[in-house]
Amino acid sequence: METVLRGLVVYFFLLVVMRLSGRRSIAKITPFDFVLLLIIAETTQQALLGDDFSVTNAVVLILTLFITDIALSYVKQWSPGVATLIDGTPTVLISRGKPDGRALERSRVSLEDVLEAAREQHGIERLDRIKFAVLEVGGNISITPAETGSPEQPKPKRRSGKSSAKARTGS
Amino acid sequence: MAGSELQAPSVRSDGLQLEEKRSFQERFWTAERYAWILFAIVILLALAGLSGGGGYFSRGQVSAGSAEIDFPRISRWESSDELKITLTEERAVHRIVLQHPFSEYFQIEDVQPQPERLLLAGDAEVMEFAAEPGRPARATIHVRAVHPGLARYGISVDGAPSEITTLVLP
Repeated sequence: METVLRGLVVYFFLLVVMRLSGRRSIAKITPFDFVLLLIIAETTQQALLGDDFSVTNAVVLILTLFITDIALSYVKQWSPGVATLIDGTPTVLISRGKPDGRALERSRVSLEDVLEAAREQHGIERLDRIKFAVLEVGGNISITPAETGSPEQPKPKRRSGKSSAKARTGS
Repeated sequence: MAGSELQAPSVRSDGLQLEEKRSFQERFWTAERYAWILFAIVILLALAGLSGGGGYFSRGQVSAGSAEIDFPRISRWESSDELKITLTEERAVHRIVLQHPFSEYFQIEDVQPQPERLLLAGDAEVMEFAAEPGRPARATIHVRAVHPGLARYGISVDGAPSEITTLVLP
């Protein structure tokens, strides 16, 4: 019984803490973040197993975690509200070439992060070449490039990415 | 499959087919910030010792006659802790009695120095230590919490009782 309870407590605690820590940590995973994740995994392992290193304990624990995950996936399927609460929703960071300062600030994503994603995904070199940037549920930033000569490009070359974001965030 | 399950998100005014749920996201961002404050408070409480494992509030002192008992106010399930008993009264033999339900919550891992005699007196555990006269002595009982909960138990030293409460966190 104790193993099942430990598994459930740790599962839901991690779910809540990871969700409340925000998606930025996953979107911008650095080598140190990776080390941090390893430390969390090690700490969790001790909380899950305690002093009992038996195969029985491991089997019960693994089954508990899998069943909880499967049950939660069904709950999310049945209730879109729960799914939104657990997984979050995508956040539009740039719409028709206009950065949303509040969305960027609140989701702790900088324009540099958006530009990095743009360079990686499409080889885009400038902010005004981005039509849409969306912080996805999974934590990655997806970029839609602007068409060449597109009318939604906002006044290219007038503002640098940083000053543009600051101006809009402050507004 | 039912058609409703395959319903695609509506197209926004900017042309993006995506369901953003911005009002939910705004509330969640606010909740996130409150949660971070809560996390910081938890860390501060832990530094103060309210989660056990050291810190100002994690340990308490109580007198039992002329003896001083330094005990864990907050302990953690399955982790080691210690009871330090300072004996100042001049006696050839000191007698420490760990009363019920001490043994229900704690397992004794080690006693320093080793008691000369260990006795059972009903539910209580009795330890007798031979002491060199004229010098204060100190006995340390290393314990390990075996159950979470609020443990209220008595320790008497040389016949002087004391009541102790330890919160064992899960």
